[in-house]
Amino acid sequence: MMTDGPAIVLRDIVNGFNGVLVHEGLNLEVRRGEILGLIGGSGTGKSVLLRSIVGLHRPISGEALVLGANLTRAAERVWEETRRRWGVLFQDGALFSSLTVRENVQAPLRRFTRLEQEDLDRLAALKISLVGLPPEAAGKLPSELSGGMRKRAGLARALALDPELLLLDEPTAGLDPIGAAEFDILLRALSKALGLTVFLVTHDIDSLYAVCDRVAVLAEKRIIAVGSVRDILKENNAWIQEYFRGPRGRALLDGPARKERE
Amino acid sequence: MSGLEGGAEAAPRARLLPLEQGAALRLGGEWSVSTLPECRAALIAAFGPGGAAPDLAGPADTVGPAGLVDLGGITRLDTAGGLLLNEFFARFAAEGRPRLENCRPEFLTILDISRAPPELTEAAPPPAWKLFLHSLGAALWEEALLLAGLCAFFGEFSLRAARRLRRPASLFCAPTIHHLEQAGIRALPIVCLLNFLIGLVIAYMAAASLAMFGARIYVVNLLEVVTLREMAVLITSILVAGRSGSSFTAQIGVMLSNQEVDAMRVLGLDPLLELALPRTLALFIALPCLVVAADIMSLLGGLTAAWLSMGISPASFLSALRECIQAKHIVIGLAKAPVFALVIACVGCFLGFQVKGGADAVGRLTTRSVVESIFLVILLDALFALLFSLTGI
Repeated sequence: MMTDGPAIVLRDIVNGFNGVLVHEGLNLEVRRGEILGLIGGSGTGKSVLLRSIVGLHRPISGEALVLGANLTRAAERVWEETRRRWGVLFQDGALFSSLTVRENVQAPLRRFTRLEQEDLDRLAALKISLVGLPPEAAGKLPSELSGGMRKRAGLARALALDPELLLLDEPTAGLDPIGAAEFDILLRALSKALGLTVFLVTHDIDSLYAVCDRVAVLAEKRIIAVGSVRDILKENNAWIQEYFRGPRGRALLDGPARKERE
Repeated sequence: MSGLEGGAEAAPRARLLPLEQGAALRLGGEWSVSTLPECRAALIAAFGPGGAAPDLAGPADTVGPAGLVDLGGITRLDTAGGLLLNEFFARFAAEGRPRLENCRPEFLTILDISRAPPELTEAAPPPAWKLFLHSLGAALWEEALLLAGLCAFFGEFSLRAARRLRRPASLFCAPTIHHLEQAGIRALPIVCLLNFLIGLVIAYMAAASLAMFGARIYVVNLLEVVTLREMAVLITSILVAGRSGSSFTAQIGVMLSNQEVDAMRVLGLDPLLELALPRTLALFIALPCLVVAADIMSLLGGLTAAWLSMGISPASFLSALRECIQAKHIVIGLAKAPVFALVIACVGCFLGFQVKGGADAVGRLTTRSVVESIFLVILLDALFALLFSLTGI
């Protein structure tokens, strides 16, 4: 809303551990308002890339521009400003285990604003209902929630400050297909309603079809293809073909086609 | 409008303009979570002195159903601002929302999704005295359960281990050797150092008192009984409880939480024998050996202190020691070691098998394991002292 450039720009990112490079000259651009899904095989460094974007991991070289700020060499003030404008959902929700769901959702609000307790409670109630959690869940501890509810609570916390950018690490991993589908629908609805830009690391082919505007494929240490699922399917790359046309992907590919025929 | 208010782009504004029928409320600026208090203040101010009350809206008829709200000046609206506006609208428009003007479509969506949520329902915490009584009772009950569970574990473990003991060769397998190294050899430096220091301190403390009676040489007798009989084995056991007992709990707990133990059970391996037995056996052997080293080091510490502070030469210290040393003190000290080893290993393994859940439970039980095993070791030591004094040993 404030600036109109791309939400995320990654330039020549190089990441590595113990001399083994995971990313080598990786480039990627996430546009404002889109939902971009990042796919790639296990161990290709999808999560590392997400961690590089949010500053939990420092790339060996390269630049990460997030919401217009060059975070690789930004002052703490810029970091603060940016941290307030993004929300991150980690794999299992990463809720603070000693706090209730309500307190978890309020944690970012307490960190960045000086609101009265009453306002904090109202906002927490709003976010909790937005992500589809029942009001009774508010007083529960993370250990008392199911996996799907933990993810929803984590999403509520990520949305607490009404961020412009939402970063999600495998949001549907570990959910049953019904829960995963519900989460996809929720994510799609929220991102459209709130005008969010979403960067999504996933393994879930259904998720790609259901929510993503574009898909980026991480392989051979860089992004080998970006585009809609349809565009990606046309890519003549062995891994992509295997991924989408393998036994798991084909069911989905056939699905829409079959429906059309009928 | 923009020319007038361009300077304070971010500050939220609310102005009430009189119309022929009702009034128009003109809003501007940023209506978001970061400006929420200012937004509320602007609304209250717009409704004049009547708005000084904490109520958001002033007199209900000021805007009225015929009135309208102009959102044209709003630069940013998020769900926090939307929630505030929705609550505000609800005060004067029975149907939910007044007529909106210049409302961007995305603002309409925001207003739609940030309708007043249902109240959160949380059970109120019980009064403090109830909580205190409850936690006291729970702690006692938990302790009782733990001791009962420990006894049951020890019984079950002994029965199953006894069967394995018929083939003693199978006991000295790789895991046992590994744990012997971890719990024994690797503990040696710290055990030696600490017992040396304890001997040193005891001798120093004794020196001052004994010098008053001109009985300095009796520091040797004092050291002999205190360290050989009590301190060496106690200090060593406490160290081993902190070092090995806790790691037993943590290791077994982690294996439990990532289902390694389940995998063993499915293969028909007995986790009790595969995990607890090597550890217990290793500690059973290692602790007495460590106590021997501790005995020597604490006497050496005493010797050093006696030499430095009282001028008792090592030769005269040793000859005094040779006169007063009693085998029974050494034996009593050493005899306690295997008992303490069993207690530490059993508590460590038992609590490891109690882990339910993830890393959180592992951490909690690891701490618990150290506290419980040190508690039991000191308790048993006191019981031993009582027993020996009653039987006159």
